[in-house]
Amino acid sequence: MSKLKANCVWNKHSFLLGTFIALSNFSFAQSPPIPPPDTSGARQAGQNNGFADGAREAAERAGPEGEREGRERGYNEGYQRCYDDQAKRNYDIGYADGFQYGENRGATDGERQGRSEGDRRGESEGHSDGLNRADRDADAAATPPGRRQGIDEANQTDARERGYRDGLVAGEQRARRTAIEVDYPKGRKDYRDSRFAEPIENQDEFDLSVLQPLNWEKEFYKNFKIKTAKDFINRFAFASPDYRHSNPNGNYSTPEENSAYSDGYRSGYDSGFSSNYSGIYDRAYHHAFQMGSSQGCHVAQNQDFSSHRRRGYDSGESDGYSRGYQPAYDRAYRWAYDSAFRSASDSAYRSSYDDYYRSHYESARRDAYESQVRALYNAGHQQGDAEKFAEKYPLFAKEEYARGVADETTDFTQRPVRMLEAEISESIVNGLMEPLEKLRFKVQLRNFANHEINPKDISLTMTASNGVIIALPQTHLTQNLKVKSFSKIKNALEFSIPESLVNKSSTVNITATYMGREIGVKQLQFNGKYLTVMTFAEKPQLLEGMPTEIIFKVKNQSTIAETGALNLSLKIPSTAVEVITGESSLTSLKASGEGLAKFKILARTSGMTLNLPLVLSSLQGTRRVGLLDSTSEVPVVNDYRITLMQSPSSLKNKGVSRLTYTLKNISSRLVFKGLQLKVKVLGANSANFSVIGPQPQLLSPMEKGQAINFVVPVLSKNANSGGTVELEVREDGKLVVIHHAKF
Amino acid sequence: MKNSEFQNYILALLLFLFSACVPAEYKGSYRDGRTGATLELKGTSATFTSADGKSRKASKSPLKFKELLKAEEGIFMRESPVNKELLEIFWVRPDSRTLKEQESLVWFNAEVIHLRLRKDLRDKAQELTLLHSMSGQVTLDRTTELVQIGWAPSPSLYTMRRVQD
Repeated sequence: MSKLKANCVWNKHSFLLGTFIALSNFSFAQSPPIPPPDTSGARQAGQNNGFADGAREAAERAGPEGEREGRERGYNEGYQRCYDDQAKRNYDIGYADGFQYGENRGATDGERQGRSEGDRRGESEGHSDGLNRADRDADAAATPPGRRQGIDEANQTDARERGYRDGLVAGEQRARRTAIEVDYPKGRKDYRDSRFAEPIENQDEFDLSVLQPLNWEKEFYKNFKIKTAKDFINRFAFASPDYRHSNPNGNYSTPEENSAYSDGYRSGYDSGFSSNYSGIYDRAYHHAFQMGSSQGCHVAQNQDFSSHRRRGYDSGESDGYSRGYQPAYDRAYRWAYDSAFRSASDSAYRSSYDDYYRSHYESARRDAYESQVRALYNAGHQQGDAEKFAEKYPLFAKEEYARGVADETTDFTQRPVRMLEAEISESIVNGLMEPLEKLRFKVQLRNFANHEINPKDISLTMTASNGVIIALPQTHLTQNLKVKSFSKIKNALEFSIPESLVNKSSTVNITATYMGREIGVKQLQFNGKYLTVMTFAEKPQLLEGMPTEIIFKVKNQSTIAETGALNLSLKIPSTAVEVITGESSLTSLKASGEGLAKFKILARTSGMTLNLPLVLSSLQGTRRVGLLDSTSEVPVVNDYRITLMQSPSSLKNKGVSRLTYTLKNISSRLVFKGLQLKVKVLGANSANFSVIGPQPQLLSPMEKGQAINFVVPVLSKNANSGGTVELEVREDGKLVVIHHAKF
Repeated sequence: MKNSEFQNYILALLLFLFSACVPAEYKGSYRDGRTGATLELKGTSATFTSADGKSRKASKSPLKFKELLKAEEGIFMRESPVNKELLEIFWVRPDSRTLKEQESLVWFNAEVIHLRLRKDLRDKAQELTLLHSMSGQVTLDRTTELVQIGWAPSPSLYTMRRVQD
């Protein structure tokens, strides 16, 4: 049993080392043969020598640097912690002493100040109470007799007669005003109605489609924007070598080989340094931190803490004073206040009552007088106004009605044509005003004249809210308006909306004129819409390296069935996502009907959530009839997440690169499911690479939340322009994630 | 470091190291009722008899990294890195003919028996799950001393119930 325990000890130790020691002791067991004209050998030799020198610098620097920084930070931490503890202890002692002293002092001061303040306030408030009571009692006694006297005095004045005279003047003014406001417009309206009631002798309809179109495509694309993807780049920072042992002493016969040697040496130096530095640094740092912490604590405990004790005393004294002061103050205040209040109140009542009585009597008399005078005047004014209005209004009404008829007659002579209605007409008749669809006006005109109207005399003009594209802002009629005619004018003017105004309110105004005189204005509001509207059919989720179906619901917003094929195109301007199937089509959609468009995409990132910019277009022929341009937060939900711990760019160089991956179990609970890993290099240069080690590499199961590191050496047979290294992970045979890293 | 802190450190280290051994609550005999496979765990040995009647016995002390490098048979143990109360046990029976080494990686095929044992049991364990694969694999990295023991998909799983103390 003792032997077993001893072995357990060794085994645990071994495991700890295996878990925590960083990459170290690189060696390259085999160097490829060096053909004389080839620089690859020189580069490889440079890498080997550089790696050793870089590791030497790391071994030399990491220990002292870790120890120095660990000791310094540990000292600071220990010093601060112990200093804070000791300071608090001294503060607490001082606080207790100060509190007791302050409490006694507070009680004495409270008694004295409470008595003084209670006496002063009782006297003051008692006086106010006496005045208030005297005022209230005097008001009740003086007001009734005062009012009676005021009314009697008002009844003796000529207020009623003055009101009657003023009412006669006001009645005549009101009669004139009423006639202007009611009878004048009535005269105009009656004449106008009579003209509209006349029989229509001619009906006509004609088309004004004489448009010269604008450059539609240019206007369209001017308003079209696509958001760019965000970059998802993980960087890992390392300590930097200072190249103190840099000695690239390659001595080759050609400049190319010497240059290759130098490049390889530099790359190897960096790799050797970074592979060895952090592990040595961490161990030295942690040890020195503990030592520094203890030392810092000892120094802190020997500091002078008297200022903290004084501060505690001051604070305790203040708190104790507050505790003792208030109860003593309250008791003394109440006793003194009550004594002073009553006598002060009675004295003030007696001395002020008579003055209050006189004041209230006069006030009541004055108010009653003014009120009674006003009532008498109003009664007289109302009588005079009514009498004069009844006398004058019939005459004024007749005059104003006749004036209204005359003015309207003149107006019909000057403006014999009127625009009755205006509405927007579509060039694609489906109940939708689509972006870039040619939109025009349908206008109704009536000619009231006994003569034909020259078409050049009638103009139609339009204006619109911001963004509306006006292709033809003004036009005139193309043929005469017949005598007493009603004409429907089709396809007048022309405008459209850009895609930026889809689902927004737009306004257009049309004005008709006859010989420059306005004969009608209409304002129309509408919302532009695509033929189709597209939304996510279900909340999308992505998988890294594995195709996922993303489904959109496509709805026909029009009032008619769309029998032509709809082609849908999905574009995602992001390097974090790869679109596998970006095209889809729907054969037909009923009026207000829906269909589903399916695409396949995969994530090329291991982030938890992607901000996914996407542009989904639906096309009918070459016409865009729907657009979804948005950015959505989409989760990446693989059970496992892969991180490549360093840049794989060294794969461009000839030689072996050790790729260190971290694999983390994010959400799988399958504890007995082993993992199978396959690594390969993709791209045109794939034959140039050879993965070293078992394929697949088999790993033990991971619990949820667990992360493991593993190393995959990859041999680059020759220097190359780059490619993509792919790591595929399966859980008990089932594919769970594919990770790509470009180099 | 003060004396008391040093003593606490040594005590914690000893407790940590001893905790790597098979917990006593698991010692005893187990049987899978469905297949008849059996497992016997003793103080210094373990015996597993698979459903086909073939027995394997391990009586050596736990394997070290250096022994794994030589493809020696035995039991490799470690704590779960996310649950210190969980002990992962890998009983490795290497096929030494498959031993390969390249660029500091050493790997070979092996028969693998895998158990996960709790160290915080207060009573004797009544049941445990045993995984058995004839298509296992051990991968070792000389540089980092990382140990990876895995197996091909669909290994045999046994639900072992205690049959006697």
